[in-house]
Amino acid sequence: MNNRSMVKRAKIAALILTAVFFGSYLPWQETGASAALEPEPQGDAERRFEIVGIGTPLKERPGKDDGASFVVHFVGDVHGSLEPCG
Amino acid sequence: MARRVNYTNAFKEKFKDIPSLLVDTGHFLADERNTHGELRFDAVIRSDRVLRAYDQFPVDVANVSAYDAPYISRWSSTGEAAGRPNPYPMLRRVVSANIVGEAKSAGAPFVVREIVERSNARRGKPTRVAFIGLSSPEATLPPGLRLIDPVEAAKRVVPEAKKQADVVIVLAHLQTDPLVRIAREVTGIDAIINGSGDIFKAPMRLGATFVAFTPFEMRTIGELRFYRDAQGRLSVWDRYISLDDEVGDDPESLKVVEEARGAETGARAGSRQLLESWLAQTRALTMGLKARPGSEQPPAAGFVSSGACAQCHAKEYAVWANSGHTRASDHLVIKKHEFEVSCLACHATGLQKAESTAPADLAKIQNVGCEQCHGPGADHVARPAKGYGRIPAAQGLCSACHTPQTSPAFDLKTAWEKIKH
Repeated sequence: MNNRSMVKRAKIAALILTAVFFGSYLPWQETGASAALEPEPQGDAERRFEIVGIGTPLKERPGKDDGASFVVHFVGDVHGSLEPCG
Repeated sequence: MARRVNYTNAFKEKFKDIPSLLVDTGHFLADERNTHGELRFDAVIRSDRVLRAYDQFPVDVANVSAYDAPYISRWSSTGEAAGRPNPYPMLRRVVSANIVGEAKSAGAPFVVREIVERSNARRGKPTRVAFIGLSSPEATLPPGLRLIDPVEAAKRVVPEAKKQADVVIVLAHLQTDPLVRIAREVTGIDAIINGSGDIFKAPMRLGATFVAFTPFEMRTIGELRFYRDAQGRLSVWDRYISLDDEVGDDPESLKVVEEARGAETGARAGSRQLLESWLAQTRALTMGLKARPGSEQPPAAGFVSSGACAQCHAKEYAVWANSGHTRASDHLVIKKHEFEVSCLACHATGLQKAESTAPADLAKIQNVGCEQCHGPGADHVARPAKGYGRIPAAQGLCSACHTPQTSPAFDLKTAWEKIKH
């Protein structure tokens, strides 16, 4: 009985130590310096971007009305060409 | 562009009550240069057509990158097109906070656009959206313009824009380092849209700033959607819509694209034909030969060719014959894809008008001959007299063609010793 309770206590202690170790380690990692353009962690509330491509008819490409207040469309790097693909 | 128009029309048709703006993050104009570092004539034509299209199918704001500055500076108070009425309202909708110059030619640091948001959070009050332009030094700027550090420019301009707008968006054509520094060090920016040159790059947050990347060459259009919560706080989310064949072409804008293509190919073909016919028409006089009966030769306007001068001025002719002036027109053939009539002002003899392609106005003789500096010699050959062709400040004539831009290695003192006669 004594052996069993000692093993149980050891296991609990090991678990607590492990939790303390990782609990103090992880926040330090998140605030450490990262490479210049490394994406930073996004919260659960932020959606990932959407890509709409081949197979979607034109009428459906604008997507759903999700309550947006206003929209900015953007293009660039056409370097003097009005043709598709620059 | 025709697909872009088709998509944005479809968006507006589906979401009639969501206000939308269209922006360009830079390098929207052509930047091909000729041997002397000036914009090539076909690059000017293409850029004209882009501006016309951006007016007809409106782009609300465009960022001036270092690649766009050479064309835009033509319309400045000291540029090539100075004094001509500006036919492109789009040039009043360009921005740059860090390309500056004496002639205010690269656009304002930022512009503000007003929209009425759909959400009730602002109770119908217009939202002012400021667009700031920033660029990295990716191309040589024309004389009169300089590029200041984009990070310093952002630190100065963003607070100014914030005073006049509710939302601040930076349109950028920046390399990685300044982009990261601006995103992390400058507060008050709601979003940065950066033309990175990649076909596609995923958006990210750097510090508190949302950064989206413009897909390359309008193969895809980016779409930033802004949302207001009940407290009026703004958030942003983005989509990317492929502009592939399935999107189809808007017929009206497709016509504009085809006309632009026709204008460009027509100009190139015209330039080639003009050079070929000019070379053919000036061959006889250049070689001192009489024109064959029946051949159409433009009037020589009193020019006789250097060979005629040699009859009496053999020593002077020999000095000239050993100079590079005798081969000046060879460059026109080697660089024929750049040829414009104005090239004949310095690569030939006897050009009357730099803007005219009328045969009577073109240069009379190939290469830079005696008469380019001493004037037409027909009267002198007919009635020789002392004093003809004297040039009071001869050395000053050289710099008319041998400019720092066209002849960067030219040294007048050394050259004069070789050519004086």
